Amino acid sequence: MTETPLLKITDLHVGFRGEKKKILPAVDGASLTIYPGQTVAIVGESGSGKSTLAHSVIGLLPGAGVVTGGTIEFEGQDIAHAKKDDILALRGSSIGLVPQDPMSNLNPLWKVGFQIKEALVANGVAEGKEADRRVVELLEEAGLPDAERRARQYPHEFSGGMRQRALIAMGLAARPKLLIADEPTSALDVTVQKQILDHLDMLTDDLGIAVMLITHDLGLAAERADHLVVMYRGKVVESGPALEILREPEHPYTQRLVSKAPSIASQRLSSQRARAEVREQAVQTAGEIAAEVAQSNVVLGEGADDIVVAENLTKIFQLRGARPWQKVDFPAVDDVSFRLKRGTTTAIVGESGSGKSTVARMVLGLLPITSGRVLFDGVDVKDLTSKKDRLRFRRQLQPVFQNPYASLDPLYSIYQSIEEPLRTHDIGSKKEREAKVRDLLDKVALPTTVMSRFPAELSGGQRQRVAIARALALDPEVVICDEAVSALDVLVQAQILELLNDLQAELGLSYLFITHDLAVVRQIADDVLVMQNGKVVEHSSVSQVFDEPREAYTRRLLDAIPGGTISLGS
Amino acid sequence: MWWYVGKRLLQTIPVFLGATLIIYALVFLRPGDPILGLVGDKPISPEVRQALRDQYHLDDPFLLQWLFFLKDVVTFNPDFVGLDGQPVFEKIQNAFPVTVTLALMALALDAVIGIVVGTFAGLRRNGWFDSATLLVSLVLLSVPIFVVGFVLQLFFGVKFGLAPVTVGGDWTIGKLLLPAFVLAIANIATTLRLARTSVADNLSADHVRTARAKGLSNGTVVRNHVLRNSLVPVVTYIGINLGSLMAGAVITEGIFNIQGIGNLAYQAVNRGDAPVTVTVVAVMVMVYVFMSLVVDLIYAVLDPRIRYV
Repeated sequence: MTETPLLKITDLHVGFRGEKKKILPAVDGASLTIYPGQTVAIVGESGSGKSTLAHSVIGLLPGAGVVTGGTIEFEGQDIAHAKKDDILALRGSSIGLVPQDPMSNLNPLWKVGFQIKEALVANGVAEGKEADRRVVELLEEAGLPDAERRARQYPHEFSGGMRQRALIAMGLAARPKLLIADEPTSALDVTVQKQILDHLDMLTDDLGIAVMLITHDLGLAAERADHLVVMYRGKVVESGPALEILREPEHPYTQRLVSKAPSIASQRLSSQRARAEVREQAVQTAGEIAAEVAQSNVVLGEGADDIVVAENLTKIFQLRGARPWQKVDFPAVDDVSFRLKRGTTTAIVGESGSGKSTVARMVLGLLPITSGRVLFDGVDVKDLTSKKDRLRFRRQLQPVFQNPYASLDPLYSIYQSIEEPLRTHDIGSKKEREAKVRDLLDKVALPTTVMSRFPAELSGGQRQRVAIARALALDPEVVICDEAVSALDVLVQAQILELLNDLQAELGLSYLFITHDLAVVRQIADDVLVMQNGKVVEHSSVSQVFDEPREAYTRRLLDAIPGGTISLGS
Repeated sequence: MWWYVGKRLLQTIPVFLGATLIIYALVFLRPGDPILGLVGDKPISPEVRQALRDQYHLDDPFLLQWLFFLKDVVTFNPDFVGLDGQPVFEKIQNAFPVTVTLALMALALDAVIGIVVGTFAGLRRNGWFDSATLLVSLVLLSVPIFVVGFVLQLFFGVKFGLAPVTVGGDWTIGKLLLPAFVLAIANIATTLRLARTSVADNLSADHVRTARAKGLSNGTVVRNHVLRNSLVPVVTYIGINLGSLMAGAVITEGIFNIQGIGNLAYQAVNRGDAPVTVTVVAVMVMVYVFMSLVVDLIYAVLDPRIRYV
């Protein structure tokens, strides 16, 4: 190409100063080029150095970060070795940033309008009244309705999607030539993600702004960018046109990404066949367990076919009204019914605020039910009043929560975390419990050496495995996974889904799987409930939901799966 | 918000009743006859003694005594007198201004020194200034207030003659400067550490990075996005401090001979003077409750996420 590149990174090395001045490398000889108006996606898992690379381009490495080698040329000027003032002059006006987490990236104490205005004033675009007017225009341009009123509100009055739009308005305020979008939608629901990315695409196309899109989702990257750069352990392992990489990945890591990422894998029929095999085996095992349960007096339940039955579940929260003494009823869950068959998975899908997690908490007995009832193996959960019955119920129904960083006690070693339920339920001697923990770690494919470690020393995927091991410690019949893979990287997501499938086949488990992401549903679920605003809008089998969705809302969720438009064959 | 303020003001009623009851009980349980303590070594006839006992309701049951006390306080009875025969409200009226001035001066010193030094330390965490500040604040925290008080009194008052040694009855702001500093010293150390940590934490916040990415200069970033955010916890702490400053006044006023609330309380406790002791402490409790309400309201002004209903 004869055109001069906008950004040219050559053999960049970035490290973090660790103890005793030792430098831990984060980016290890990365090179890439972005031409004006081009969208380049950098794909990699957490820890691959993709965010560090992005931050070094805008000169905002955290305190201990240093560029140890290589050059970053922006329009011919080397940023990596530029003076502070020169980089300051580039920020905002030439290079914009749309950060990752909309919740933490707006200052909670200033009005949204003020924060955008700052960008205009600092870069000399506009001042005073003129700037106020421009702020409203920018917010409108970013797709925020009622922008004039919104500009006068504080960030906490915005939803996640709205905040991200405000951050986009901020990043584009001074019309930079390059926009760095650092996982701009990872913290958002898939449907919101699609809207935001569509809008960002449109804006940067119209304005001719080059985009450096950082993401961990290959499907998303391929759909949005012309050019892909795959990073792995600080190195650029592959780069080229998006479709080419998707069709013929060369590096083993890219190959794994292509074959495993749920957004892409959900397109394949093979994942459906695999699921059918899992189910067959799980239902058989579960049947044997049911027969045992029916015989036993110790275990709660009758060994019924439907292990969890929810009938007309309703939850009404009371919110504060307009006046301090008034209360307003808010139906979070409205008349939801479903049956979970032994050895199968029912997925509840919906956006945030659809009431799906509230359903999970009611089934778990962690939230009082306003009306309706939950039957566990033929027994009404409400009738389990004695402490003994409650304990037996808890043994057979265990949760796995979304955020593995928050759901493990940081002061408990992994061994203590997994052993705790056994101790609470007074199961086995100390020796037996230890054997059980070893066995559980083996089941979730973790080495027994992690027993003495603490959660902070494990990766997100490893922690989620620990959380699963803990849930399985009491040999439950039902596991409720509340967004259990949503906080994880795509490859780790695929691994955890595989693990859940294997465990289901082996132990005859039944899953209630709660997620906002339809992409993962196909690999794990048999039945799907689609929820919107507290109501079930569609309830059918997985294949039907994917192949012939009845509701417009379901279709919207399906369209939102990134990479869904890319055809890859089977 | 007015609904909230009203609710909080209503809450002061049970606090007032509970606090006075507890203190009254403590004074009641104090051994010795307050009348004998009052007259000292002078002989006293049984008739006079009984008359005094009747005047102060000392022979009535405990709860009844407390109710008599409440009646006098709530109606602001001008004839409500302490054991020394002087009207209680007048005494408090005379002693209150100097203590409030002292406490407010200490509060101002606390806020200004604590926030300014703490911010500079926080902006350059682990630099030489930060390390020195931390060391000095640790020393100040660990030395008791009466030691600091006497040492400063000795140097500034006696040796160098830079400040009056004692304050006495006719006080001025200038005379109160040294006592206010002594009173504030432990709080300054804590405020400073809090401000330092808060600023340092905020510097690495996501929204600060975003602000830098917008192209804001370092000064603007610190002013608009670091300082204000860091102030929220600090202001809360400083406000609550006023209560502990009132309590610390007992010692400081003793050292510098200031005729304030602290001194009054000290003398009354020594005498076993229930009316004065309980009234003074009740006033302190009320000031504390009122201050925490003010702090909560300031909190809502600083942080728009807080909304009271």
